[in-house]
Amino acid sequence: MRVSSLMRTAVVAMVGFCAGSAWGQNTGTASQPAKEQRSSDQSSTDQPVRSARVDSALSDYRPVPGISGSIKSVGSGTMNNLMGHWREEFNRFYPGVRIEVEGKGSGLAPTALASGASQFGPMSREMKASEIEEFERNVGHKPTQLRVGIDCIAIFVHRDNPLTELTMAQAKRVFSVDGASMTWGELGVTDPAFKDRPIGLFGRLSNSGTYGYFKEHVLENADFKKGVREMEGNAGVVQAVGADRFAMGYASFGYKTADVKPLRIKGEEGGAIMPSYETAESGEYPIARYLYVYLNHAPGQTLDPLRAEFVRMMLSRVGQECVLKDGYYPISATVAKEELAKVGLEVAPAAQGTPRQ
Amino acid sequence: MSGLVGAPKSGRRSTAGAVYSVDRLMSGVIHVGGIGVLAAVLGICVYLVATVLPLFDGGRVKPDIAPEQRLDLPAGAQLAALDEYGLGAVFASLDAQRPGLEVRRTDTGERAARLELPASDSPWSAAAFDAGGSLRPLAALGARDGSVSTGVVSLSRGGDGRVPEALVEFARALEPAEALGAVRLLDVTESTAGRRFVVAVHERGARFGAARGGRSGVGGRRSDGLFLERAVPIENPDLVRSVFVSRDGQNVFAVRSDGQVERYWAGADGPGGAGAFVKADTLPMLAAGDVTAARMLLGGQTLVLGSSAGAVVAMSVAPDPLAPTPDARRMVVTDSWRIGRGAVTTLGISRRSRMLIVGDAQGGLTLRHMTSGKVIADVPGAGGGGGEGSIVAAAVFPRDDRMLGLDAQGRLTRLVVDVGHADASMKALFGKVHYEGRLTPEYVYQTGKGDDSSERKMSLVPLIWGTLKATLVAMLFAAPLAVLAAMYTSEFMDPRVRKVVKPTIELMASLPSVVLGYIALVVLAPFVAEWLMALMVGLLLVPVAVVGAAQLWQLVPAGVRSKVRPGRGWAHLLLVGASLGLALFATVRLAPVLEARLFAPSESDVRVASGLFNDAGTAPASVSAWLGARSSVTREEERRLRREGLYFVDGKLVTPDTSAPLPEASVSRAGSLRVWLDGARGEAWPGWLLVLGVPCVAIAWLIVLRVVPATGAGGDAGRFALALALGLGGAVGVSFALGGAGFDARDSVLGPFNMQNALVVGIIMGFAVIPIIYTIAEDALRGVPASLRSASLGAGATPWQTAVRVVLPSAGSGVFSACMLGLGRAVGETMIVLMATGLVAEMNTSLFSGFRTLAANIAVELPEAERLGTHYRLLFLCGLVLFAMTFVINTTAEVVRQRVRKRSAQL
Repeated sequence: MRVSSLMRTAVVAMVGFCAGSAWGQNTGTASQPAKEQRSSDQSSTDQPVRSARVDSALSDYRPVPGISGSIKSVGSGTMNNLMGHWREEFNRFYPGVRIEVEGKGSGLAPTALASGASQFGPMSREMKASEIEEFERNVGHKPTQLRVGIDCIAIFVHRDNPLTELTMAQAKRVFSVDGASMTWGELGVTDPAFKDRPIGLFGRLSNSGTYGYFKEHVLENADFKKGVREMEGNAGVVQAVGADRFAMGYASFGYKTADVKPLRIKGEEGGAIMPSYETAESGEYPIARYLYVYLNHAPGQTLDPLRAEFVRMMLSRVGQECVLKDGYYPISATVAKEELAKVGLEVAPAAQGTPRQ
Repeated sequence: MSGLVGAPKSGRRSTAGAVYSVDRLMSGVIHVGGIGVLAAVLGICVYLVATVLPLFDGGRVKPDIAPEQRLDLPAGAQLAALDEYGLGAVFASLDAQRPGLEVRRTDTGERAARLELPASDSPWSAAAFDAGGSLRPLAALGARDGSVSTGVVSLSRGGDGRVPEALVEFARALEPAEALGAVRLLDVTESTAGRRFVVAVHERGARFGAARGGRSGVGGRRSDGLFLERAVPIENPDLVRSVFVSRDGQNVFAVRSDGQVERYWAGADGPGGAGAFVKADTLPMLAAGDVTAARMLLGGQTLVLGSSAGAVVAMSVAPDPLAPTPDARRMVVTDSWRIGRGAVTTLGISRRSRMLIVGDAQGGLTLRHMTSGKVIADVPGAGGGGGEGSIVAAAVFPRDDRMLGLDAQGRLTRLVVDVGHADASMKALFGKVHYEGRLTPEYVYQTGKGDDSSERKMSLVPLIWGTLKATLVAMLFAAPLAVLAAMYTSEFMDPRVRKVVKPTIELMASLPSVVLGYIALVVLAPFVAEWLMALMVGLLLVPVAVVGAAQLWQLVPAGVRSKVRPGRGWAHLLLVGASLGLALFATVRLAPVLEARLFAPSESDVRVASGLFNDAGTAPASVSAWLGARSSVTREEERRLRREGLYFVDGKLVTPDTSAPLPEASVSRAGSLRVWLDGARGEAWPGWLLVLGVPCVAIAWLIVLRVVPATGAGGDAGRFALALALGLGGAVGVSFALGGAGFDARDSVLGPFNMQNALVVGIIMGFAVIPIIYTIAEDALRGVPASLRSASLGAGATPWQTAVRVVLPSAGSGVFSACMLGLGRAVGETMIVLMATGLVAEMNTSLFSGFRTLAANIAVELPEAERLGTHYRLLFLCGLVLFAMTFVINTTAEVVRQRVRKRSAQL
């Protein structure tokens, strides 16, 4: 009881902190409490979620001599923490490299990259056609997209809610204007305390990549119901759902707390799937997406050593452990290899299997 | 001034030169500063307007290529694809002599390359290219033997003036079907998850194919290339002139040449279900003439038809509970419009936005945005009636930067288009728009998009509504409290206490609104949710108790009163505190009792909820008129039914079964305000009582004070008791009357309870506003000359009469200004709204739902908006509207203040 109230306070503090930092210069290592909060949640998970582990086939990162300079990253607020963790890791290998991380929104990444103001553009969504075009007009070639992690989006209900699974079609009806406002009974809940009560809906702010992803893939581009309340950050959604017995909301799975329960999602084919690393990676779990880092890299040219090493580090085991630490899922070794090839890098064969120093 | 400075001090007769120069300097600085401020404000205004104005610009068009370029094609060739830059166009011909794909330059019409169609056992008989559903240039080919292949025809990256190479990839989707005959018509699309759907109309029947799995690995099963096949029961396949499949694979549309559109539905299990499609509904094209062109708009939800009479009609499928279709949806016409020039001959779409290009019989091209209704380009053709000059192919380039037209004589038109802000128009921003997938035109604000194909909804009306609602609720809470507090502090409070109280309240103003928003979200919202009934009861009980206590105090013998001397120091506060405490205690005790009684479900409600009901049989005419044959009703409709003594359970009308005994412990009979608010059960009148209690008592008191002489029995306390009784009685009476007349507060001021609601935000915003109003109002009240007060008191008026009749009117303009300043703060408040309302762009009057204000909307969306893009300018327009609103408020306030001041000066 005491622990859970403490945790609620922590979430609450985090929401306030995130919101506060959104208005200041949201640079540097923002929201440190978020990380602690989440790691404590993992232990108190009451659902049989298979724990994710970094693909053992991923290569270790081995530093190379002669790396110096400075790096700037401008982009997604969602990935702000992640970039911060990568900065820490990279600075452990190369203390002399100055790294600045600015996370105010994915929409800022393309322009900053094109103008040369930044070297890395983390984005929680794919660049839109118009953004790619604008980039190409300014730079002469298309931006390079690297997949750096997997964001598994869960639909949460309050922990007391008897509902355990939801089909994609139901999710669309619940959240979109395509369906009328619904009660829990219409989703098959028979508990009299829930049956006739309307479903309270929560989601992310309309400027977030998760909002856009959910709208495209779950609502199939239909509109959100007007009553879907938009909360600041994944933690905001989870907190709101955890405080309301009749609520449902979508947020990144990694932000799960003891107050909420993720639903199994049933696609049109196959059974109901619990979000997990394996199911997201294989595509069984229907609502997961990649997280991206964009680069300004002319095709056919070699990447400068500083950026090359940063990319290598992000896609190495250490880098992917950061992804995991941050509540997202790491990519597989196969994907990492594909991504390295995009910028003309190879997995150093000598580095495989040898422990990091 | 110089007289003062130059007053003789130590024998000097004249002012020092330095003093003059300082004087001149300062007056210069003040002038510059003043003009600078004016210029800055004007500059901001000009900048806002300059940023916003381009939204309303039309598009610009200019010819791109030398005139009289020709592109001669074999008859029946179809425009299949354009490359990304629009340098090359692929034309497909299924002509038996020379089937194949030709790549032509779009500037000169020259042939750049020729490719063969994919090999097939039997000749190709039908093709569909560049379908509107997905963002990818999909294609489908159908053969004489009935087989269907789907794939992509795209052009590689050209650039530098080189014509790109065509890439053709196809794979078999549907196997040959001898019984159905050759494929006549086709369509293909891909869902948001990359799942491909294809529909084919054969000579004798129609088929639908759905791929198993989609494109991506993460977030969806990867396709294995196999298709599930289903039949589509189209009755007369030979009458169908075009066929389309919606992007979600749920619907197949068959367009007949007589203008009828038939819709076939995939069934409850979706496109992957079993069995044949079901015929859902038919929509006759409303405009005159035959259908001459049909096209799916980007996004694969809106079907656009062009007629021989020059009409263009857009239709989409909208949910309608009244529709007599198996899926409770029907096709609705969302837009219809007429081109000025003869028949529509061809339609083309943009791959980037919801623009449509219309080619007509006179060789003209019209580019129009289908949401905003803005005509971006209207290019009359070379003329030459009789159909020779009619457009046979029209396209918008993939980047929306050029458009292409090709007429029947092979004349090529290519134009550079600057589409500007195509989806913004007065109608789209301030009017009701009939968006796709909606039954009726609506005000909707939802700019967050899925992919590029989703329709952006930019109506500012819900945001203006939200701003007004937020302001109103906040002011209803804050203004009376702050003004009364100011009156109390300035007129009745001991100066020693005031010295502590006033700075404390002013300190509240220094609380950052982020902190207030955070408190609203985390502390107040759950508190209100838990103590909702107590809060509503307390709103009435607390003021009544405090005023009542003061009245009772008057009954205490004067001797005792003078000993305690309540007019001085803390004794006053003690009395207020004691009555407050008592009121709170009473509230907490009384609220659950009232809640359980007032908001209990009726006996009929309980019977129906416990399963004791009979089938109602045929509904009375008054009900069946609007109810129709539907499977679900909304809460409003359920309440409407309930007033007729009917209930709606599991899709049918029922009446409570009164013969059976009520089971003992079946359904809880105790009332709950939140359940009552969320549902349709219980009586209507207690809701009105909640709303009307406070105003009725207040009005009754005012009336009693005027009408009943103070010298009556019991004096002031008696009058107060009378007012209380009258007010409460009146409130109950009015509530009963309203409830009896069929009005339910849940349809208007009350509604389903959300934890993030206007009440919570109003209270917290009130906290932000109270210090401002309080401080200024208090200063104004204290500024009233003491002589007025003394005269009034000396003439025998009580302190209260003096305060209300003399001080308040004299300080009226100041108090009014204070309220207006508070209002200005409330209108622009951002962080509290952002954090604690859920930012829902709803337009309702419910106290228990949230809202989205202009200011919070700007704060949330600006970081993600592309600089100088439509969304960016839209947010600046929000700023401009906000500016206009505060401007109007302040100007009105100033005018009113001037009048009030004039009146108070006469005092």
